Amino acid sequence: MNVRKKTSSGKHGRPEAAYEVMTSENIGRLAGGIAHDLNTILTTIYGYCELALESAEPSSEIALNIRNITGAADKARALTEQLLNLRRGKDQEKSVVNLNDIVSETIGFIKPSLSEKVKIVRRFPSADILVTADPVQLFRVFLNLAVNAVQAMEKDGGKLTVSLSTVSDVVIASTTHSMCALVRFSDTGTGMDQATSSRIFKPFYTTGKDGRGTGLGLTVVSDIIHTIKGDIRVISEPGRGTVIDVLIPLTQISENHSRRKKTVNK
Amino acid sequence: MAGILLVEDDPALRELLRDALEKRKYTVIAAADGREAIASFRPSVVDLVVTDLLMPEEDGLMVIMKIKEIKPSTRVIAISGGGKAGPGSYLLMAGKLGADHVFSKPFLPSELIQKVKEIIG
Repeated sequence: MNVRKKTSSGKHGRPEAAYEVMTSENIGRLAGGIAHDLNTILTTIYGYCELALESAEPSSEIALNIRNITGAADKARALTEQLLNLRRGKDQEKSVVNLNDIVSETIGFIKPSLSEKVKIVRRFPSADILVTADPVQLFRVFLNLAVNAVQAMEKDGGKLTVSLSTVSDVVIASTTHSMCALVRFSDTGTGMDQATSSRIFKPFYTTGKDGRGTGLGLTVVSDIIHTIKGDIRVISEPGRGTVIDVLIPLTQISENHSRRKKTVNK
Repeated sequence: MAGILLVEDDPALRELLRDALEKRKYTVIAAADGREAIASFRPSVVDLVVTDLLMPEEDGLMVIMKIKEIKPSTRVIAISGGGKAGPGSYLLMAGKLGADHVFSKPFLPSELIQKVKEIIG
């Protein structure tokens, strides 16, 4: 799914885009939940069929009936595979995407829910910044980081600056990338000490209060970015705020691409 | 005989797997969720943990982490119905946390028994 396209197709812009993205996410979650429960039931059905066949005469009517049950279970299994493939397909829809659009989507999505105490400032270049990734997954990454930043400023208010730029000669996992996109989320919130910031990407680690947060959000964010050979870096200080940098190898920067797009849109 | 902690929240599947394992003379401690599993874990008795991943209370990933903390040599088989695919896959994460083998549901009891034999004899 292309986030930018969904936005431009909406009658009033962002609200429809946000709704469609969330609907897509919900469909994926629902499909996964149904598939999980069906697969558990199927494991029990297959298991008892296997046990029953062990004690049944192979040519008996009972054995035939049991094989008919497993045949029906095979059809249900194919159905759960389809459900999972539906979602896996969404997970793997990589394409060349413009980060300007996706980060804008994220800000547009979160802005209506902000309190007056929290401000968002955006600093974007005029040129497109292109990377190869799944736009829905990137939206999920940026939304997660933006929500965390806003939550860190809930109590006393503050400013979240979201900036987009490019940097050269970036080393990620021993590989030097000549050019990377840099998406920076810089908030003036509560900040974290070094012990906390070094653990935020670990599974089940959460600073969420009142049961808020599963402790998996940033783990998934980290996995998504590492899957596309990128990296996430954190600088934080208690009482001063947090800077999170998302680095993604650049596919290309094209001013021509931007011009062509504007021409086509006329 | 080797001891197995079996963690599965679905009662019918839990009893099926318990029967299948006990028939092969394994000592089985069964738990209905992650919290019960961690409370039931006896390092001197349990050699292998067979755990579902998506469960109420503490989930299977937490079971693996806590049991590996208590007794790092504990072997682990993780099972999941594919409730979460993609980069954040529970089965992938179970592997990262040290599971010896992962099963996607549905699977046959005979497949589980074969893998249990390979891992703990």
